[in-house]
Amino acid sequence: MKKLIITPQGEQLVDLTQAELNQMQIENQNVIDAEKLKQEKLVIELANKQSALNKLKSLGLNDAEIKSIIG
Amino acid sequence: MPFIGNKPSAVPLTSADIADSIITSAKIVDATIANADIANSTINLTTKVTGTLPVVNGGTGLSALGTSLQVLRTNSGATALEFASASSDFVKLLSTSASASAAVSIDGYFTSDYDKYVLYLSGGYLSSTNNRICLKLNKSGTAQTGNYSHVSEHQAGSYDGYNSETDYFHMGYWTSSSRRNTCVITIFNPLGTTYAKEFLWELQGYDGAAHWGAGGGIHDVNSAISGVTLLNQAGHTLTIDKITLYGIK
Repeated sequence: MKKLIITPQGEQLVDLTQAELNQMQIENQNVIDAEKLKQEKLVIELANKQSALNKLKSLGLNDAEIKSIIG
Repeated sequence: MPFIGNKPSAVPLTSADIADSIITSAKIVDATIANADIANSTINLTTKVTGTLPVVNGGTGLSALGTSLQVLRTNSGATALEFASASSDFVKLLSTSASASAAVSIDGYFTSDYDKYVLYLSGGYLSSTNNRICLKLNKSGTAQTGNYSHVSEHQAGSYDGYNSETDYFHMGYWTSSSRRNTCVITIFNPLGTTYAKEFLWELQGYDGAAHWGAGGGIHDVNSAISGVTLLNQAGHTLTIDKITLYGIK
């Protein structure tokens, strides 16, 4: 992969260094991990919400009543 | 002289009776030469005129040239023209482009001549759509990792949320080549060594819906920076049709 270096002295296209490639890999992995964590949290939140709704319904509340208290 | 004898009849004087080049200026009555007496396209303006042509006659009212790179302008009283130095408060330092590069480093343009810099990116896109456009700061030409702290909001079809990356400024999302994207980045006091480096940005893109991002942040290191590096953290290449950098006093 190439990096374009623009300076007042001119432009130069150089290969990314191994250190830069390694850092890029770390940063990209961080994004992937963060996205995965976000998705996992979302799944848990949705499951919790559904569980709560089920429990409320089992107490005899209908959808309109549930909506009135949770918005 | 008295005349004796037959007097010859008078005949009109013709130009043939006058030898060439003998009529002197003194023989011509003042203020009698009319415009019609002068042939068209014959007056040599470099040798046959003197004095200074005033503005009302289409001149400048000036008799001397200004100094190097001065411009002609109306004076503060709007009464005359004058030469003056052009404003250098907002100066274009760079205009270039980038093609399919994994990173674009813009370095060496920060000087003590300016306090702030504005970087315009227009006609930009990534090799893969809906991906991050990131900004890093260069120190002695090398992009820095860590110590980034920023808030960046990205609006597409819905709110995309707070961003807390610390290895770069995550400015927003750009598309691939089917559409073009833009970004404006303001860099404050890059050569300062007392405080952390301050940045603001605004970005337009498309990630399945119209996308807008804005943010601000600091790189929490006090030392001077030499430039910035644009990249996508996954290595998707950037193409930017126009990169323009301005220095502001």
